Amino acid sequence: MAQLYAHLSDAELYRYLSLPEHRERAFEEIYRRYGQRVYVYCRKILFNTHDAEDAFQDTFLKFLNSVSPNREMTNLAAYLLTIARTTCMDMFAKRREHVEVLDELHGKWDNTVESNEINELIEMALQLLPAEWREAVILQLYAGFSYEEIADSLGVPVTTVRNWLCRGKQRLREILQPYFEERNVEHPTQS
Amino acid sequence: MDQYLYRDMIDTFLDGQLPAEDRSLFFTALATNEELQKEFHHAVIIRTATYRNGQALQPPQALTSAILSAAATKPTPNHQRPRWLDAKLLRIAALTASAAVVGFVIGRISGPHYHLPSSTQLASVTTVESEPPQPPLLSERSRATTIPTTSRIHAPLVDIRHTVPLQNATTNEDIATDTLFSPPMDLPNINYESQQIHPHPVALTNHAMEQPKAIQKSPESTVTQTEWIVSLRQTMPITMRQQRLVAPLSSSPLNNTIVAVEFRQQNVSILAQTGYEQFPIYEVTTAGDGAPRYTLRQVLWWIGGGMRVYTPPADEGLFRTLRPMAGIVLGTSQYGMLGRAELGFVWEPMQHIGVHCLLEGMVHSHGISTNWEHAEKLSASVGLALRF
Repeated sequence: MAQLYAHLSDAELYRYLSLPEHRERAFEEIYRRYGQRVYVYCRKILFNTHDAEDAFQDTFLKFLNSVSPNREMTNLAAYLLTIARTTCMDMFAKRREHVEVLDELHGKWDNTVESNEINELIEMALQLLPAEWREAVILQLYAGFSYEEIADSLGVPVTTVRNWLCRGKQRLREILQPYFEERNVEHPTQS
Repeated sequence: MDQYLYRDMIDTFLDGQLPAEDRSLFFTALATNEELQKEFHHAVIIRTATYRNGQALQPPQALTSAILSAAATKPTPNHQRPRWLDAKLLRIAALTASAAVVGFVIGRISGPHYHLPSSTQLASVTTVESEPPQPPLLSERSRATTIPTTSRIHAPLVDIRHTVPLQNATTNEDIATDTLFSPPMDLPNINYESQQIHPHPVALTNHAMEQPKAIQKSPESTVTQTEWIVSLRQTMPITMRQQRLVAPLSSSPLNNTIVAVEFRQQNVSILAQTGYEQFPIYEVTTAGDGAPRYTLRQVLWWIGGGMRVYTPPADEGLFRTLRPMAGIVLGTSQYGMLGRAELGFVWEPMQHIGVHCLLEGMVHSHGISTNWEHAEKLSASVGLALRF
């Protein structure tokens, strides 16, 4: 049964959300497709695991509550991302304690995943990027969203996204350059 | 092409966005330019690290189950619920207004009775006695107790003016209470100086008239008030754990209802309560692969007992009828133990009727010997209370 839904397009799945008999399965499939990427975005944007999980949960619940049979869904990923982004921004607005963010950066990282040194450095370098660049880089590098999906969710042209990504990643390399040279870091696949 | 353009090409290429016609150019530069090679290498490192890092981040199983269970919950279609029912303020206002109306009606019915002799009774009385019939001179408030009709028939009606000099009476009420049905002859000496007023002389016992009880005016003789209170309240969730996952219940009046039976002595009471409330709680089971599975339950039956403390009623002013109170209840549901704390007030404008307005917090423990998550809820409740 699940395979049946796996073959449906995003637009079809969205339509099925309005039908009670298909709602649960369609939602599961949408969650399977985009849940992890949205989760990664929330985690990377919000630093705090607890806040990220709240934002992630809110995102899908808002999405579920916003389902309308009259809406034609053209870009489900971007739509989800837009909800996630709004939710994360709301969380930021609520939690304005800059100190908390700094604390997170200086040692309160959830070390279940970010235990790797280079990952920690990348995370810290990301914080030095302008907000738009950082968000675009997180969406692309961590969450794997395409240029078009990022552009739709951020409400900017694709060319702007391409520019932000290019500048952002170059700045990231510049920031990490001393580390790479000091450690003579090899490609991960070679290690 | 300069170095900057090649740097741009690194990311465009790794993103799969580099046009085919530019690729050969880029590869040529990459093969010859050592700086570009180094930067390309760093770009790949960052890309690989972030990709792996992103892939390793998975939403927790519990969170996934919770989110998916939201879709599994059949939503109550909004069009089946009257819109006005969703307006909590309106519901509270309607409940309070209806409580006040019912309380007023019941209060009028069950309050003190103010019987005056009927014309028939007066006629029978006057035929027995030689005195001409006198119209009752008393206002309703002058009789605090109900006098059986049978007694009154045999009691001659006497005007106060014929019996007790006004200057000897303490109050109009005393005069009226004591002498309304007194015989017109041989009035005893009533000691109005005494703390206890004996409303009727011993000679009156010759009449088949029920003797009113002596009025206690001594401040030392405070009467201990004990009451049974039965209340019915409707609760409205303010916030609760996993509230976002909870589908609205149907509009049945039985949902979110609490019934309490309370025994109050002065300002302290003990009570037993039972409730049927919306209360999201997860049943945790373990699947075959060892992963926990969470099943959302939405409604909770519970029963418990506890106590409440009321502020003493003031002699006058708002707090004569409005009594702030606090309470605590320990209980159990079908899933485990729970505790409730209540804070609010009781409005008791009438003898037998009160209105409860409470803020209630409920904490549900982990189940005992069962797999239930703990849960919390804060709610407001409004209800009616009958006192006996």
